[in-house]
Amino acid sequence: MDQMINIALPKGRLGDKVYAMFEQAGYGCPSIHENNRKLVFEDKKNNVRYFWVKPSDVAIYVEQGTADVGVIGKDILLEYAADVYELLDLEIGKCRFSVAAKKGAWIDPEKTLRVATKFPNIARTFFDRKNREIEIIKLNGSVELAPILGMSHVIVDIVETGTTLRENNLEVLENIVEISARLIANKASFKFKNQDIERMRKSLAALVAQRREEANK
Amino acid sequence: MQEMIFGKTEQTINQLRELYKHYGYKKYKMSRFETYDFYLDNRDFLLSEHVITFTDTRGKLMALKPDVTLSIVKNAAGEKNKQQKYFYNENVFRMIDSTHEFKEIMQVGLEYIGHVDLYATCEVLMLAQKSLQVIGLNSILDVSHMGLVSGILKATGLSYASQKQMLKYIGQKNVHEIRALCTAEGLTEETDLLLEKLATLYGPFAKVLPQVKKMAITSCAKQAIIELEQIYQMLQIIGLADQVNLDFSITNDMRYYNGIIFQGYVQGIPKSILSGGRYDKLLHKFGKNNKMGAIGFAIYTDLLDSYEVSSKQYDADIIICYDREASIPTLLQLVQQYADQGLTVWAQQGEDQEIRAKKVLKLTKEGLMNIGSND
Repeated sequence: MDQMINIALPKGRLGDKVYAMFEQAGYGCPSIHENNRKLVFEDKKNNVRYFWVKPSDVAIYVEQGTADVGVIGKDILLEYAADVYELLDLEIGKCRFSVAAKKGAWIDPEKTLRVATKFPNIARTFFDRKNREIEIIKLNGSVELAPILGMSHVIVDIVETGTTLRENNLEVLENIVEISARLIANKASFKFKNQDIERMRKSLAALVAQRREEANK
Repeated sequence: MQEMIFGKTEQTINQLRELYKHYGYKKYKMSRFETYDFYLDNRDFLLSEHVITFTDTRGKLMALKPDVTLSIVKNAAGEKNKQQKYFYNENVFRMIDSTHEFKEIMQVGLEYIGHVDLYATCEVLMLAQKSLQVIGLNSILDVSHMGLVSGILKATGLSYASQKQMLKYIGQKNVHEIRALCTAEGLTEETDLLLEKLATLYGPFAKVLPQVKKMAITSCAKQAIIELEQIYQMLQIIGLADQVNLDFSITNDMRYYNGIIFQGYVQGIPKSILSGGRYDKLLHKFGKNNKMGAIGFAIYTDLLDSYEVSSKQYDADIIICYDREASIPTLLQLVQQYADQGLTVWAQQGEDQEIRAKKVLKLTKEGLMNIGSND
């Protein structure tokens, strides 16, 4: 039985790449290319409905079951700890969480470490594991500024190419975790639309494997 | 049956209570409070560590109950070697993770404490399935076995912390993280594949069980598989075999749960509404002798309120608008008539509609007229 699958995609660059993968895997929805401000797109032939949502909200839409599946960066998934299935690593949007500081800075191990970050949960979990006492300074952007101006000792942030760090004279001290886009599913939807979601996961997995092979050539 | 507008949740709860009574379960009424140290001692068993506390008149720290199972088990522990069957519907107080606020949740559940044999297990599973059918037409019951999952995990030789991490990934059906953790811990390819299989296997007993048989790598796992096979045979006999699935990504705390565990879903509700399992280990912690066991489940009826599946909502079935000249005796009779039919009626003077109804009637001295419906 074919049922409509609701898919939440993150607005922005990552979302565009993700949609391209879904299209290639046989879940196209041509109306999505129309240049307008609509947020919901439906394709009756492929039985899919896409919505664009703020990246940090994808997990919420999926957890609440409004979307059956969604694609989200592992960074947000870790920060929100949503109760969902994580079905596939799409291996795009790759970057990592790192701890960085001013180049050559000496960090006094006797002092409480001040950490500036947009992701307090991830920072706390990481330093808790090391039993390091920290003080979190939660920022909403331009985290690199904090150590330059002496507001924090280090930052915990997403590092993609390292250019921003280099240009601001910062360096990576330690890597926390690798990040990439993940396919997530609502637990109840996974049961009630099992065959359809499994088919989608398999098609996407095959595509990921094919792309990996091509990259290794 | 007449479609009811008010109190669908209450109705469901009543039906569940009747169901459990038929199978010999007795209602368990508990006090509203327990001492705080009782929950402190057993806080790992609770879903959340946050408990509402207050000081009673003698200066003792008390807690509003966040859970019912613990209290039932504690009290049952006094009665040695007796089989006990209880059901409950109680309000519990829990912190909701997403909002960090306390919420009063109506929980319905049942517990079977005593000699838990194949019959008892099947009775509880059957009641779980029947409960789901009471709640919604389209439902799914998924079964897992902690003995199999923890048996396989222990065989990996991972540290407790890593086992817990692995359990979390299995719960997320997270194959890529399982693979990464196996690589990081230096586990063999074979173990990796086994764990991945454990996380992803899903489907009806008949389809999945043959694949599970290959997983009997420890005596603990072997025993679990034998138990699952026996349960499957019984489910076939009572005609439930195709309504129950196997899903080993359902996991729970290894320190309390030992046998089968299960979760139920109802279409229209995005979270599991029923959750339960075999928890002999908790019982033994309270000093019950080791031959005794316990199995039970809880239903989170608050989800029914949040996601009540109804296309259109009305305040009443019928509104009767009457004017000053309408006959009051006729009105009284009409209202009574409709109410006796099981409909909800709202009589009001004038035609300003402040409430929504399926059908709007008007009563004047000329008689009754239909002036609109919202169907």
